[in-house]
Amino acid sequence: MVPLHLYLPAKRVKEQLQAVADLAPAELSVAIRGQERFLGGLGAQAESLMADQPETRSEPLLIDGALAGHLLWRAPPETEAQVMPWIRHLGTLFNTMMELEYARRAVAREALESLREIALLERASTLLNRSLRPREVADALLAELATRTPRITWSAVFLYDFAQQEHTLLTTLGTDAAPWFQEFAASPFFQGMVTGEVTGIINDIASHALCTHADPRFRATIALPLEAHQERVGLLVLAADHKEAFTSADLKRTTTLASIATTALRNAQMFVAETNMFRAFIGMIASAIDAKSPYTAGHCRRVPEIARMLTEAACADVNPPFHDFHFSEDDWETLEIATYLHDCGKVVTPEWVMDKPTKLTTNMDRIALLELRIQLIMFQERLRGEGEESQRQEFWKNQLDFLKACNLGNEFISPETEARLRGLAKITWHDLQERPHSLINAWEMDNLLIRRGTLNAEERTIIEDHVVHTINMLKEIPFPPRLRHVVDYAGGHHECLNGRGYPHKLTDASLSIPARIVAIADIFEALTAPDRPYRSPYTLSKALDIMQRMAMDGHIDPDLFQLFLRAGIYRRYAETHLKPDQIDAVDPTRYLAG
Amino acid sequence: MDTVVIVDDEVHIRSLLEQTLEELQEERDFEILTAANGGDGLATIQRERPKLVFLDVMMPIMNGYDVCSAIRADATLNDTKVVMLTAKGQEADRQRGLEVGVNHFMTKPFDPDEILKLAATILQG
Repeated sequence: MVPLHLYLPAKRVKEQLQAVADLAPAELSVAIRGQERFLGGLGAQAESLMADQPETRSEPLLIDGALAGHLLWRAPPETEAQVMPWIRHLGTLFNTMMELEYARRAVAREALESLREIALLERASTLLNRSLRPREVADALLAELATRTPRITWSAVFLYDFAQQEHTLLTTLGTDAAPWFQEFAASPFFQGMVTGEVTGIINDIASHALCTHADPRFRATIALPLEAHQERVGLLVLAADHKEAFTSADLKRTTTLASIATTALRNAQMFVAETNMFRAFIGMIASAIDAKSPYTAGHCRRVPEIARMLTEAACADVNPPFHDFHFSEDDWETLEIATYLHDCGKVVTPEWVMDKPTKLTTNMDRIALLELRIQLIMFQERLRGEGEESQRQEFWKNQLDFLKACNLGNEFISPETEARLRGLAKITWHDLQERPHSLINAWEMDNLLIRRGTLNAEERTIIEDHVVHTINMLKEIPFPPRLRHVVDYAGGHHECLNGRGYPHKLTDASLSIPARIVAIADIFEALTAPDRPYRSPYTLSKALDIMQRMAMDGHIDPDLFQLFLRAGIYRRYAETHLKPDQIDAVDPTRYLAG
Repeated sequence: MDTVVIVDDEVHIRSLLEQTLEELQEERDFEILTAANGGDGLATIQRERPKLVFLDVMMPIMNGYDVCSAIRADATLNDTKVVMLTAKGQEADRQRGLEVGVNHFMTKPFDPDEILKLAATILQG
């Protein structure tokens, strides 16, 4: 029965009854009864009318044609005829009041429903458009549905893979469905959901024609294909563990939320596609740099791996100084891009400088020229009849061996070596016009006198400039705010805490932890790389010895180096990337502080 | 019996709020009174000492801030919770509302479910 008291407010009833009492020509008792509830009355005996006595008369009170209560009345038999019009008037009055109130409420209910939908749309569009990750969008949708419809015991979003032309599970919420999910996904019932044959509310799955296996956890469902612009985006499935769980209001709400989620999912999918394309470009550039030099092959692909391991260790570390260090998904993406591209400036570095194996290498090793000149000098000496042939051969063989040794750059150039080189430079050969030329020209002398390694000052600048190129090239890319630190992470890998790095001579005050991590990853990879033209590969312990010294003199971050050792990153990396003969015994306690 | 007072000069807002709260009346007994301007509203509030007041900001005679200040100045109305109804995009009003002692804010168009949740919590307390 309709709750009469809601449509006939007690206060109004009282007012009207009072008005009639004042006007009626004779005494009468009236009571309003709805759902056995006394809503008001007139006269001393009003409440006693509630007990159905034979002499009590009643008029029906109707709401939208349905009986909602009674107007009960009694009058002395002699005045009954007199008060009858007043009773009828009251009946009409109350019925009209209820009708108006009923109409008012119906309109207001509709308005409230619209307000609810607006509120839901507004809330959901903010909520579901917060992320551009499909998984997060789907999770937000399922969470919102679960809040609004507590009867849902399990829910899932499937994403349509256009290339594979199939639906794959994106995310689920609720009771662990793993045991029956495999079976469910292969069932004709699920296939029906995919094709759209099973859609909307199915409140009794077991009796559905396509149902081959009734599961007690899956008794009722709402299935909604997610479509945007006539294109399939995915599928939403809600499940309840009892029959008749879902109402049309649930379906309406679900449809509203799903429509917003579909747009958000589609945007997220497009974003993912764009991001994947961008990543592929990054991979391509990294491969190009690696392919440029056989000696550094894989460097751009291995540094990200080491950096990731060290960053994971820093995130997991609960001790100072890393207890406050956290990495968001955006930070991980930033690090990945930065590490892949940290050497992108090398695309403009000439490879003969990048990998300069000997001091006299330009785009060729000029030692060959020296050898030719020696042959020429010997020939010219022979023509002039100077010296004895076997002595000459012996002498020049020694000089050539000496020059070849100097060319390697393994050892420091001592004053004696320098004097010997300068002596050799005085020996001349003659061109066709009989003009004398030194055996070793000025450029060659400068290079042979390089005290350490094979690079001269100019070439060192070219090498160091690769970071400047990296920074400039990365600055050309309009990274979105979430990736704004790429340049910082990538461009700082040759900076040192002590301010002696390059190109900006930054110090520990301005070097971020990720930038320091990239520096360590870069150095460790370079030291342990299996093959370099200018030296044989280092063993693991030798690489760590060198890094230990670098940590001590403020070249790399000592705390990160400690973490690198403590977390066993060097070992894990060595197991997968180093040659067996490089992996020697390492005693990490040798390096660990304290 | 608890009383809830709705003070708003727009009849449709009053009516919708009333209708929303009537859903709650199916579960618990309380009286809903309405006023169409700040002056009448304050008089009703001071007379009825309601548990909860829904208060519009811009109204004739007396605006919502002044009504709320008057409520807070009256020690007998210490237990009256005030929900201010602000227009969308006028979130700056909230700062001023907080200063005069508003307890909660609702943005128009309001979410009926939020109104119900809030009213149920306040009337229970």
